[in-house]
Amino acid sequence: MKTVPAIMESLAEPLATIKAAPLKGIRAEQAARVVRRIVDNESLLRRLDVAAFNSAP
Amino acid sequence: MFRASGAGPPIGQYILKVHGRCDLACDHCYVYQSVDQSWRDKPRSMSSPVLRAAARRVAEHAAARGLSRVRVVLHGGEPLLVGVERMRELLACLRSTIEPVAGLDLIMQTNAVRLDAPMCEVLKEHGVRVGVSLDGDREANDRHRRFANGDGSFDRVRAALALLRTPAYRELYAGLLCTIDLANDPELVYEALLAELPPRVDFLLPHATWQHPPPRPGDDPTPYATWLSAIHRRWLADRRPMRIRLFEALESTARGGPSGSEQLGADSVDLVVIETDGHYEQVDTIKTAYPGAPRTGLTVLTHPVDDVAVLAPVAARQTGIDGLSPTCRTCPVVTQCGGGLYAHRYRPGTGFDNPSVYCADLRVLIDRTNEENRMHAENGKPEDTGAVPTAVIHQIASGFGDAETIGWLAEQELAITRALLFAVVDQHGANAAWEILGNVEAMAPDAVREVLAHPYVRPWAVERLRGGGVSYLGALAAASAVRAGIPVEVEVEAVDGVVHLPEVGTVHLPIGATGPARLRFDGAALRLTRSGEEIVADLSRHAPTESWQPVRRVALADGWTVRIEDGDPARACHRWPLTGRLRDDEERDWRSALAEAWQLIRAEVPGYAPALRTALRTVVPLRADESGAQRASTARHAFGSVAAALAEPADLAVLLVHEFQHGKLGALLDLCDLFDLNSDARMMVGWRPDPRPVEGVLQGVYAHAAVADLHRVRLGRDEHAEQVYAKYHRWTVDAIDGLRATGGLTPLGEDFVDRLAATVQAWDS
Repeated sequence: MKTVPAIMESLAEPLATIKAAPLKGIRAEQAARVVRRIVDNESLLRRLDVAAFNSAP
Repeated sequence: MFRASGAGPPIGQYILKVHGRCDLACDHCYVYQSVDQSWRDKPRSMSSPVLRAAARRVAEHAAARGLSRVRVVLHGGEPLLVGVERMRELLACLRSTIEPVAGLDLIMQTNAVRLDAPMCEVLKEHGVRVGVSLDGDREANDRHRRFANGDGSFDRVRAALALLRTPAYRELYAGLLCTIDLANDPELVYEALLAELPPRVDFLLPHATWQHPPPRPGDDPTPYATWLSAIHRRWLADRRPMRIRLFEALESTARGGPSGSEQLGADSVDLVVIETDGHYEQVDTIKTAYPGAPRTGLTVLTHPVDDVAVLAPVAARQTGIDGLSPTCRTCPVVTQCGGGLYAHRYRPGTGFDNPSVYCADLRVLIDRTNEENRMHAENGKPEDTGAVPTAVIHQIASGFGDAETIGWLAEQELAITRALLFAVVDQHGANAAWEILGNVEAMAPDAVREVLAHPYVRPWAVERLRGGGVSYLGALAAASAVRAGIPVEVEVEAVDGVVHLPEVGTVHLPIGATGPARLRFDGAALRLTRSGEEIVADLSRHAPTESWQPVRRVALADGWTVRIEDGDPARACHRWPLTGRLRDDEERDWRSALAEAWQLIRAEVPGYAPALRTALRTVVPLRADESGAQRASTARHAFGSVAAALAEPADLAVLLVHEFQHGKLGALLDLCDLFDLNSDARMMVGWRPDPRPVEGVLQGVYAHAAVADLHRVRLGRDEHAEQVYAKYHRWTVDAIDGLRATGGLTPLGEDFVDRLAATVQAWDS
């Protein structure tokens, strides 16, 4: 299976935005990134793989 | 078909065409609308004998080539057309046949119009990740993605995506695939995709060849580059709010890394298609080239995968840049472009030995994105670019961490909790408590900040986002208002006989009382009404009563204030049995032990003191072990808290230092990967009888180094210190060596371990 770790992401980027926003002003997509990392344990290594989204049915 | 020399490359990815028809009639689909019309001659769906043969071929190839993992992509046509029961059967067949040999990752690419809860249950049962095709907003999507009767699919797809965002099925959601159409506004497409909160997005250039070039309306010679660049600029300005594979591939290849994409770069393509009739085919996008283009003439019923791997067209996809056309090989951006998608290179007469029909667009897109990425990086502050400060990593790696470093980590943890709280509301819906919390924050942000810094807010939010737990919002709103001195009335939830208000105190109800209650604060007293009975707590007296326990703060030397937490039900996330509400004498014992332990820590190992003083907010009493063994715990999501059974001060000092090392490392691991989460590596360690994963070993090493350090200081003063030091030192050194050999550490993790090792080695001198 061709999956290759490439660039390392960090959660610091969405957190910088979240820190600056009031609770009700947090953007859903930034919160979703945190959920994927913290709750779903998503890797921050950008694992690039050839077959993902290979093509559209 | 020509055969290449040798055994051919190992094939790790399989596109399994489980159903050959589709319930949409998209006019841009390469399967049904391209020059290859072979779908008409194939079975509607994959039969059981073909499926079993395919699974066996995948398994035997993985075994023969020593592949530890393979990936099977369920594809079509439309894979959901097989129905729930057939889907369950085929997934069970794949798992039972392949998994005894190799790890199996299952992915589905679907139009999602038939995705419903029963199907999601089956996919969840077998761990299938789902990629969904969506071309943007309603107008963009329904331009092509229509049913045969002309109706658009947008509403059905959005309903499916909403299902994939629920706590029950979020784990299935892999991402979105969007096919580009220049008629669509790129920013509207971007916003529509972003609104679906996809883990990942990829953009697909319309299928085209030199024989059938893509439409290029207007005067722009590179309109596809223009379209994608508009999204790239917006994506950077929005601080990359979702992963976009095309742009990540360009970033990666600009640094000399892989592309991870068929569309770009020169990565080898180790995949084979298995059609509904069992025939192996090459990647089926080349159906756009000429009739029969992907055919191999081989089938799972009669041929092993090895026979496909040696075919010249398959082997040619492994040769990288050397396999590209002469024009491509001399191009300055060839390492980023890689000739583009294989199918896009086709021209009658010269076959695939050409640049992409999108060559001009790709060249402009690559140059622009490189320049825009460079400018974005230069203009951004370190935190804007997602960087964890190097000093933070180095300090934590040394085993210690000054107040500034730990304070920075605590700020990140608070931001994580705020994000999770927002996500809970996004998932479960806003209510009056959320409104109150927002209003209190506007008036008294520090009060809300103090409450949300309570270590057990995050464990609750995580449980809630996984579909469990009860609402804690009322308690958070009430606690914030009380801290700010703002009168409030809000509904709260009683859990197991308590209503806990973080940083304020705990209302104790009859044992086991659970359910909604009304809480009112008039600026001086709390009134909790439940089942017609009212409990009143006069907060001005700061004294416990039978039904009210104010937060137990312990002010210690050198400015450290720690709470003894014996009320919050969320502290049950620790593995060990908890004490109930402490008696007065028990609280006195804890206060005394904490004061003495803190004194010892400051005297013996002052290097660990700043971290504890800055971020260890809470100690949770555990029930003592009946045999007298020490007992302590750190909960992964409860940064700022440790749980322990009461111990002698000298032992409690060790427990606090030990457990908070886990907290520090856990906070760093939230922000960056020190090990590969996909690593299956296991190793034996001195402190456990069973093989441990990399994360467990890393946590153990980090905490045990501190325990060894503390006993090193006690050598000569404590009769047990020499033995304990020797044991923990040996465990640490051995495990550091073992960690380095697993191959499971990231480069950052290797550096982290090297720095920790340097701290340990320094003891010898």
